[in-house]
Amino acid sequence: MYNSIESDEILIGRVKNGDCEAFNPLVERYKLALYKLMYRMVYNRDDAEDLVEEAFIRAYRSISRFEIGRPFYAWICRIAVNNAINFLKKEKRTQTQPLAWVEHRLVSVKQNPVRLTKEKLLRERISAAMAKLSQDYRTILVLRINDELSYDEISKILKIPRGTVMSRLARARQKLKEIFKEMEVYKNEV
Amino acid sequence: MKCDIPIELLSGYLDGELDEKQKKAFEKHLKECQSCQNELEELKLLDGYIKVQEIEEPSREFIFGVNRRVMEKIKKKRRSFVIRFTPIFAPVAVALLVLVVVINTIPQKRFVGVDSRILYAEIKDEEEVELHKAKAYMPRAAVAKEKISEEGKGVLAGQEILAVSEVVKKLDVVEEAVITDFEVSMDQLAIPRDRIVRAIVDSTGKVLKVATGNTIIPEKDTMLENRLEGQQLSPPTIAGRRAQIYVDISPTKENNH
Repeated sequence: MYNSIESDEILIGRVKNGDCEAFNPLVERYKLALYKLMYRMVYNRDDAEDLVEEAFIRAYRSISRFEIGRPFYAWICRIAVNNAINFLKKEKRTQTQPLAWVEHRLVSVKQNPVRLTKEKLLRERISAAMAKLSQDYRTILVLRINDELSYDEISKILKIPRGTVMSRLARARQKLKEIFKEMEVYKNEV
Repeated sequence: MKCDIPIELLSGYLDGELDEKQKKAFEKHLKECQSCQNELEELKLLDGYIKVQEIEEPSREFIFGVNRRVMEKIKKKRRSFVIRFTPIFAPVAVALLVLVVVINTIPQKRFVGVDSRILYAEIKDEEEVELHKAKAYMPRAAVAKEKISEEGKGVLAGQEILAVSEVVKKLDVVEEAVITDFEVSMDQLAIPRDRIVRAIVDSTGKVLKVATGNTIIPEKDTMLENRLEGQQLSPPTIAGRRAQIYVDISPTKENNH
């Protein structure tokens, strides 16, 4: 049996030595964080859940290449994000899925204004604005702001130079500001 | 008045990612620039907004079932997988590092050689059939995996080298096994001591292709090729099966003395 206090390193060491049960606590530990990350990339619960599952399976299969001592979460993020990017390309959802989601959400907001608290309405609008960003911008903002990863970690995950991380983040923030203004997000502030 | 400080600096400062020198210079500027102060506040607000965006809760099935599903699939894979190899050194007299690729039971499926491993895969179930459909037909060095871009391709012994993403797919479906019964005599090959040489040796022990150099795109050496290609070596077997391999036949340091 494995418990929650065993470090990632110990668990991964055991997995590398053939004890696959030691992988289970890692799934438990990171499944929700990865779900949030995947959800923010694909804006669809079922797809996000599938992508998390796939990420863990891919990580397990590649565990021999994981270098003990490095952060496991950043490593599995890299697997999950790349998988999600491929998924979005394959499904051609980069444009259609988030926009469909935005439309659905906004219609729902218009139809049921009294059912939403002001705070929830704001969060909905923010998500809708995020969904309008390009996949590149959304991914990098999510990794930096939601997952609080460093530029170096993001650079490894997205396989882009650190300088590109810096400039892409800056441009993504600028773009999001413009979208916020267009969508009047600030006016809904609580 | 709008300031012309690059937005990257503001954004990097907010993220705590400027180096000390940049940070000090920017802070000095910030004290005097109202425009940058406003911009920074706006970016902080923006980040705060991003953090609170709405997320649909995961399903109960996910929360309570994802561990079980992942573990079941992992265990299933362990049963159906095949092979990954670690490097093997031939006896002292031979002293060669053996690397790489095997052809599996399905004809046009050839496998992926890597510097510290030999890879081999065989189809076991529906899901793996899918994975095998990847264009992973060509050996390449694992060290090079870190050096090549995701889209990068090259040529090894006249054949296409895998893009990294394809290699990863292959790596995903292999497990460990043991390589046996493959020996190459340095005298027989007479490879110059300073050369890095790799070859594809077929299951009868015949050298099919030769490439030199330590990069992902090996150099062509016609003289070496002419001398080595067609040479008869001991037939390689892996886990008791005759196999075609992609092998590093460079002289070892020991041989260099």
